[in-house]
Amino acid sequence: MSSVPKHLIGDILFTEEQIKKRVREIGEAISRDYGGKPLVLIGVLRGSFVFLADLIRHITIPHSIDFIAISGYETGNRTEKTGVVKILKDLDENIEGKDVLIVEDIVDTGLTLGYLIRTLKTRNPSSLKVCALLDRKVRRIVELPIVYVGFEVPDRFVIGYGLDFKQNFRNLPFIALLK
Amino acid sequence: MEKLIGIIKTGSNSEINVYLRVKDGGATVVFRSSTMGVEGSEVSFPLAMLVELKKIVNVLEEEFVEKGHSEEFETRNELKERRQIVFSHPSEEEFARILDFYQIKWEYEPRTFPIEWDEDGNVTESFTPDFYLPEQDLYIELTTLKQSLVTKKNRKVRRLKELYPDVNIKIFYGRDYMKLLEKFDARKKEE
Repeated sequence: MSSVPKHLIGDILFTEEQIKKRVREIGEAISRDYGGKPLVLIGVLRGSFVFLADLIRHITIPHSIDFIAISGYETGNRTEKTGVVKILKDLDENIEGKDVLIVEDIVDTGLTLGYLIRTLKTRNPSSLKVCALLDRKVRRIVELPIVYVGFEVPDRFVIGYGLDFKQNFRNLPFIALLK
Repeated sequence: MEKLIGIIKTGSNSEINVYLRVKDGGATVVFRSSTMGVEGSEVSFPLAMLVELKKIVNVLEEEFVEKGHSEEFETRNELKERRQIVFSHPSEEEFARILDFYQIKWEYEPRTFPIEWDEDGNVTESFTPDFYLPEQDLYIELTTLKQSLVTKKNRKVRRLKELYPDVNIKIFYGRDYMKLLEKFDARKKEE
């Protein structure tokens, strides 16, 4: 097994302490905003699992969690049709009539999340909002109902706290730039 | 200075001569009628609006098919399916594929915005954003690698925003965008 390419870890954008503080604040805000209403938190695989795991420990209202995974666009395949985005792992729960909060690691162009929102809306949830740990607004194409944002990030590739590069760095307790 | 660029025969003795006229730094396309070699009235439009003309030709083609005059196509949709979009740059084609992948409706260069005029009110410079996303009401301009073109496009986008404040436009720098996609791709491929 090859070693973790530590030389690719660049400047730290957000420390472990900063992340802990912000995640706690978001958890408290969610608990407050949704009152006593049951909430379904949907983690978008795979990047959001660390954030979601920490977030629910600061949510004090009744809630359940579920996960969804969708296929991503692959570049460089110019001769074949690339097809369309697909759900690779669907929800286990029925979300009809429920308050739903999608939990994302990072929102960029909004293309992926836009598709997800369109798809989940057809299942008639009572409400559908987004909580994103990181927001790279500068690249936004599709506007989204992002209600909770951890941090805004610059137009650079970031790693750590669930976000990977070739499956490395998800376990970093901080968020850093990729060199 | 006028240069004859085409002749459209309209009858046994009549035709329309098409000229490219360059005057005072501006270029104009001129359609001038001609009967038995004697030129008469003319219609002209700024070369800067060429993309608009192409769009009008497309609409006319569709009307032609719709009215049953075409021997090649039976329906408007048949024509549209066969009509190939010619992208100016590979990054635009890739971007279109990405939008298709995420099922985002798009139009390629659907509108030209005049951005500079001469003293007589003729359009001397225009700007045609690469994409329009109707559901987002957003125009998108992708840039190329050449810094000189990036600077020119940045200026055009700034001017467009000044003149048309209600128009939403975003500029994406091609190289950075593709680089990000490659990294994004690397992230996803491993999953």
